[in-house]
Amino acid sequence: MSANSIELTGISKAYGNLTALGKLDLNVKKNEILTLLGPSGCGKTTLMRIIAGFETPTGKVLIDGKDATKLPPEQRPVNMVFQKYALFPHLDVFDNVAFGLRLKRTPKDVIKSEVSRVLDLVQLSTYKNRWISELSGGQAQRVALARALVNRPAVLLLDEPLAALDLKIRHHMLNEIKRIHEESSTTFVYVTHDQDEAMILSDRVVLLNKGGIEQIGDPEEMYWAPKTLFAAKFFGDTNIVDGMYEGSGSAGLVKLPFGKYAHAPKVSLTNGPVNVSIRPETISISAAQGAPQEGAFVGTVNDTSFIGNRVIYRVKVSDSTVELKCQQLPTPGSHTMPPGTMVMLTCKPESFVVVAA
Amino acid sequence: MTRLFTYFYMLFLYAPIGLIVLFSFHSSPSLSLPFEGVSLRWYEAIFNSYDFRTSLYNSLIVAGASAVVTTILGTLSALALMRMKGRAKSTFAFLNFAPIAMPGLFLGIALVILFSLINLPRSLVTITIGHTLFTLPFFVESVRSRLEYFDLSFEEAARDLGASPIKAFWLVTLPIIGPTIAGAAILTVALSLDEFLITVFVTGTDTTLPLLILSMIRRAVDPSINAASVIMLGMTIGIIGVAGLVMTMRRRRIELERNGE
Repeated sequence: MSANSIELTGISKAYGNLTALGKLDLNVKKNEILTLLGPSGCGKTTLMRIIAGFETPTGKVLIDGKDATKLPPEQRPVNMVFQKYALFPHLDVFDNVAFGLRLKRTPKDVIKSEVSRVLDLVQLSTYKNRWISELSGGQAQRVALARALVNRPAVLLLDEPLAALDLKIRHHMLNEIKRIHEESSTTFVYVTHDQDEAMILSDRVVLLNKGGIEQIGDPEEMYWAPKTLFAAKFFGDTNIVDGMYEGSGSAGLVKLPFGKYAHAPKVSLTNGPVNVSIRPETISISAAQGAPQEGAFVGTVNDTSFIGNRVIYRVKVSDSTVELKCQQLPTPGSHTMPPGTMVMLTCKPESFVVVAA
Repeated sequence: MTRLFTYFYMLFLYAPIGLIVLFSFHSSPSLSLPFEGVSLRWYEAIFNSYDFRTSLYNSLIVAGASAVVTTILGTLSALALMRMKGRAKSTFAFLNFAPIAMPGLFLGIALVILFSLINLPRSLVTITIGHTLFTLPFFVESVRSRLEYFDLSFEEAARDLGASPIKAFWLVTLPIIGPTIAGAAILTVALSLDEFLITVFVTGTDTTLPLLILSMIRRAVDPSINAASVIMLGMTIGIIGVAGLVMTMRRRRIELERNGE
């Protein structure tokens, strides 16, 4: 048995002249939760449908070490949770969940115990005789999970399963999906356009853009070490500042409108213009008092938003056109600084992400 | 005010039907008030008429046969429509619909010419073909709008869970679209039962119920026409009623089975 549940090699897919996916390789490790993340039209859904067998790509699809490129969906050991669940409205919860097992001619008593097992897993055992139309969105979601998991698939595919739910239930369901993953010990491939969902859920995130893989990594890597500007902007909030890079030998320098910062040279960096991503929470901000300290620079607050657990300031940096978003964690009794306040800012150059412009 | 209008509207709609029903039970041959007493003599007369029984039988055969053909063709066409997109879909939908807009007269003549070209003797078969041509667009049109809401991911889900395309159709698609199909099939029967214009052209020596009623009216104003009309009306209402009953009973049976489990 291979250590990967899915191995994709040289996968591409085109609709007419439109390239949905351009030659990508991807391995999904056994028992991990891998998210396919990206804006709409990036090819994430197409990629999932290729794994499920609903689209025929060029390239090679291995599932559990076996070539599945030409297999129709019904012969693949994967099951899918559809975006709008696609629960069968003419069947009740029990029959929906039992659907896959019945097709495999599983004995009746096994069906009964297996359906009970997965309904327990998704905590819906008391709902087995309900009609689908009698379920809430969250319950329908659980039934969809149960209907897929009862077949003990090698890989469970989830196509934006939370998109149709409202915010509160969505958060709850995310934790549920995590729990169900742990208890079912199956590989999950999860498609979403929501970076928060990806961060909370994933062992690894695959960021897709325009039919190609932008970056693969665990959530922390994706957040703190984006390799491209697209990746930096996609995860969380960030400031993009134009600068110049100068490197010689083993030392490098990033020149920004408000200071010069040391930055170790990388292969991908050549001397010249660069974009620097600076996370708002890495900039410390305080009311200006006296002369600026070493490495600090001054600015004026343009705009303040108090969000409760954090305060976001938009600060216009003095003697430049740069406006920086800075985030501060308020403590009880602290006052947010009103627009117009002169402030002092300090950056942490080690958190900079420098990308050639 | 609105309520008054509604009453008036209902009166306008149903008063003629009410009158026919009333006079079909009239004990005298007069078609005017005052009402002189209740009797079933016109029903007796009509059921004793050989012509009436034959034409009723013919109507039922034709309605049944054209409903079967229409349902099969119409379902196939609707299934194709569900999968089509964009230009092809609107063209196909238009071509399906167009015969409704065509005058029945035109269809009748066209069919007569066609049948004589291919040497098909005019009979109940030609009437069935004519009726199918007439009912098919209605069938597709009434099914199409409902099936727009059929999510193709139902079929994909079935495939994903291990069903072959044919099994997915039998286990998922057909049960879901079944009630819609059944409703349209019933509409087909009702349309066929009182189709007149095309039938006049394509019939040979056979008479259907509407043809019989017209020929009776041309001979003399015979009150048994009222009885014949009421029987037709009763059949139409009956068909719709049975359909409704079958549907609720099916649901109830499933629920009973479930409770017994």
